[in-house]
Amino acid sequence: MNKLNNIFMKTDPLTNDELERYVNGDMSPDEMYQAELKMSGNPIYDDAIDGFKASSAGLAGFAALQTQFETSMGLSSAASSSAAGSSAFGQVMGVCFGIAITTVVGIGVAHDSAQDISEPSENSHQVVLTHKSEELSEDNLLAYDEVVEEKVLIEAIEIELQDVAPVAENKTITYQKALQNQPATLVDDIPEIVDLKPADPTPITPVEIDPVEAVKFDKTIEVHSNVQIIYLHELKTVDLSKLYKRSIKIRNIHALSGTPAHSEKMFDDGETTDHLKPYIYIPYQSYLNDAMAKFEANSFKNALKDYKVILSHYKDDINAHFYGALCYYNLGKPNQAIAYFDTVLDDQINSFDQEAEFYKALCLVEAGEKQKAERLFEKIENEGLFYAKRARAERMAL
Amino acid sequence: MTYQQWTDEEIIAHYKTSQDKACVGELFNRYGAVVYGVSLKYLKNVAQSQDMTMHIFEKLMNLLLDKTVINFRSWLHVVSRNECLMRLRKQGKIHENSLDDSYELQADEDSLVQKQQDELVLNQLESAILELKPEQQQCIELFYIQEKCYQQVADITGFTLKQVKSYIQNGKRNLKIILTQTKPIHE
Repeated sequence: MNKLNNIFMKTDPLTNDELERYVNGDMSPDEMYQAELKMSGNPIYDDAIDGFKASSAGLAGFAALQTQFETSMGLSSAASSSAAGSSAFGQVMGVCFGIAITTVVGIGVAHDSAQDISEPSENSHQVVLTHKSEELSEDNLLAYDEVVEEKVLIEAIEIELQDVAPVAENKTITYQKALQNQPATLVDDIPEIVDLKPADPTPITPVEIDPVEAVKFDKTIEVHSNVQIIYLHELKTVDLSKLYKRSIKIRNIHALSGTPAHSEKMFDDGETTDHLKPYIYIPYQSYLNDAMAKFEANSFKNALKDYKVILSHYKDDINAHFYGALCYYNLGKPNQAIAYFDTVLDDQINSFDQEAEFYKALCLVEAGEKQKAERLFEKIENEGLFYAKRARAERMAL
Repeated sequence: MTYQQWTDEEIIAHYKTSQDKACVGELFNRYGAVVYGVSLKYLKNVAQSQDMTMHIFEKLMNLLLDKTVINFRSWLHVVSRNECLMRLRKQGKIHENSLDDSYELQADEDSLVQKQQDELVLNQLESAILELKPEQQQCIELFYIQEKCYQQVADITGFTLKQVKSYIQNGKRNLKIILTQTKPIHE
């Protein structure tokens, strides 16, 4: 058939499964082409995809609506079971809706109460990051009422990962490997504040390095960062604690399930009823620290859940994107990892740029995009920076 | 009765006579998530977008009985956008009247679909592509003829994703203009 027929040909609608996989970057190039062919000439899909990509909840927020609609319309259960189908998305609709409408205890969430949150590890540098505005821009900070219920996010991740095999053990970027591959990072001496809005076209003026000092900076073993960093469990993170004014909001499982008798004393100060409140608010740094603890334990699925919760509050958070990407790679979702690494690379904060590029190349190999991987390894090698030798070794092994 | 194998137009036509709610249920299965995504884009709020999705499909139950819909997807897009924009206007977030009926333009493409099987039209299409601007021609050829996805087209051409989609969309529109203005060769 003449391929020109495709130009004005009427196409079938995208299935929900295809839509979800397309939004999540979970398709091969051929599959993406077929999906885009269906979408071409139908601007409703462009708007929908813009909406999903702008919202950290993605399609998770739609999960509850299917059954709700059929119930409100008085449609039969036969219709609802045919609608659910066997796609992962259909399972999300079935599972997440049940979770969303009932007050169920938290699902495997490690945060019991604000009092139990561990403090940052001893090795952390308590450096200060200042910013000219007291609040982040509205683009980055979501109102609390828009934050998707944590359990909905967690269930969505469970569904997303259930049929996926983790990456081979020898390829896993474990905590130890991440530590070994982590360059020493020098923070540029920036007296003025940094605007973190990714869309801001104003470039950050490079700091002039004293020629004497320049001799001491070896670009093959050190990288620069244009913002302050802090080490949590010895892994580098960008210090955003001073910028984020709102804490992470999660359900208080003690309030839902009733405080166990042996724990009552913990809360029995006779003055507060915090333990009865439906939600608790955990400072960003503490929440991130706990997420990094899970990464340290190589508990990638649980760490990813925490990063997703952070992203549901701060959708551009670079720490959650970078370490979330590593988790996705380890869990066998290289395309999703690539999308996260691209977000890191697009960010004005450059603290993770070299790492993100290198790990992205590894993801491309895992995703079967060997030519792209080879080109990226070659670029890294030619730049002669921290990952040059590693990139060369990986490229030769392809 | 299930309507999974029916086209959108068949479902709507049947709904007009039968008023079987399962028809709207099937349309919800197909486009509910998409409408939700559109709502997210405009309202930027999960809870409001959920409400809006329900509201739109509840409204469809009456609208589809009265309206003649040529291209359901395009019509649904306009309805969804308009409902979102009306909500934003009520909230005081926009002031200008942004409502539009641009879905009517889709009717022209439908007539082209009917004609497309004609080899004559295909020949005219090949010539028409050559009349496009170089960027549009390149993107149309890579996407439709070489079957490259948007990202691949972007990688090959160096255009951004947004530019690729824009060149393809504008290229299609220009092809439509060229073809509808072209006299048939046999005249």
